[in-house]
Amino acid sequence: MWRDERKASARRARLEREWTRLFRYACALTRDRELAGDAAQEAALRVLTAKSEPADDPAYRRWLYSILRNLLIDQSRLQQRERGTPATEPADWRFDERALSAITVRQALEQLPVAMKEVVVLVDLDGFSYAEAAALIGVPAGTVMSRLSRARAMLLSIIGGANIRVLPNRHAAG
Amino acid sequence: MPQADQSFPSEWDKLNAFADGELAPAEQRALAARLATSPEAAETLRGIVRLKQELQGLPAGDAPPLPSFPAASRPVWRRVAAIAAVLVIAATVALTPVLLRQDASESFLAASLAAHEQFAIVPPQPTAMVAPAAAGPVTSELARLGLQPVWQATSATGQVRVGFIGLRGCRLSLHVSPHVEPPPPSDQSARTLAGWNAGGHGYLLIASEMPPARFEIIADFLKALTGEPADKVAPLRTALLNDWRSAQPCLA
Repeated sequence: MWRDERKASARRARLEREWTRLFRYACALTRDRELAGDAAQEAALRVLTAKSEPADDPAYRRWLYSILRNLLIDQSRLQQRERGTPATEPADWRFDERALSAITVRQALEQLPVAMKEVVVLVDLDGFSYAEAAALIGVPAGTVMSRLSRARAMLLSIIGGANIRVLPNRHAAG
Repeated sequence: MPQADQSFPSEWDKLNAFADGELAPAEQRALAARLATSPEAAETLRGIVRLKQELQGLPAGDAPPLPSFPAASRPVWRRVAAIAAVLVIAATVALTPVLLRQDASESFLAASLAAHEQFAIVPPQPTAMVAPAAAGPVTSELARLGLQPVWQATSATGQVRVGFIGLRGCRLSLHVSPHVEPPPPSDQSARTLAGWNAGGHGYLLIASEMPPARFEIIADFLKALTGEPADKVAPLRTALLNDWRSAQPCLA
């Protein structure tokens, strides 16, 4: 019984380390803090009451994110958000077009379609590799690569970075 | 300036993958050579890296608290419960001949009521627990309403019991029998008790001092959850959540 309590405590501590990032991912998928909070808490409940969990950390993170993602898909929240919610109206971010500040980046991120925002959050914010993100989302790694590059192009377009632009169409050398 | 709907040059994709360290070694070498001779490509790469850094520096925001599962130390009640469990086992062994004379379904009902009474009178503090698989989906759904599993027990005959405590003081317990059970007698209705069968299991839901209307909604939802296809459950879930937000505290 003592061992069970120590184990439960360790599991909770492990989940707490990922908790903020998990919530941010839920926010990215739902675009709604309340829904995201509900989903993340339910995912946490499933994690804490699961019979076992992956031992190594990368596998644990993939497992955690998969639970949350599957949960949102099961509840059809993801699809409903995609269909029913218009993109957030941007605030007046053009106070300094050249400033690539956290505010402008955050606001630009909010304007991305959910599928693009998801790969940005997974790869750029949460540090997943293309292969890991692909396995999580259930698409080929090449799709993650193209979705991510489109997302970044769109971000830069929204931010209006004067010095950053996509190169003209050409096939890479070799 | 990049447009979201244009078809993208492969070099843009590759520069992004290069910034992420995701290119194969041969492609990496080829692109590095090009970057050395193309200030335009190098400038684009710097922009991508800068964007990545800005994204990585974004604050994560305020996450809600984790579900309440304080663990760690063993509270006094658990020691008492452990001693009580030993006494119950001893009493059960002594009373086995008496219990065997009872009808099996009556045993399920009686044992469930007794367990619930014990749970309601001496409610344990929330603690970390692993919900039994038989109650898994129910546990998740009730957690959505803020009802946290705080007590569980599995009998030698495979009956599973889980006790929940809500944010408003509600006490609810679910009892699952491995077999189909006859419905509880109608004179038990005053106890806010519901019984049903689904999937070859018998279920009993018992609440203490909960407004009957709310109990009925929860019972109907759990019946659907354990027996109906998922698409029939969703509208009931929405109705339940809407009702719950405006619900009054339990009387307990």
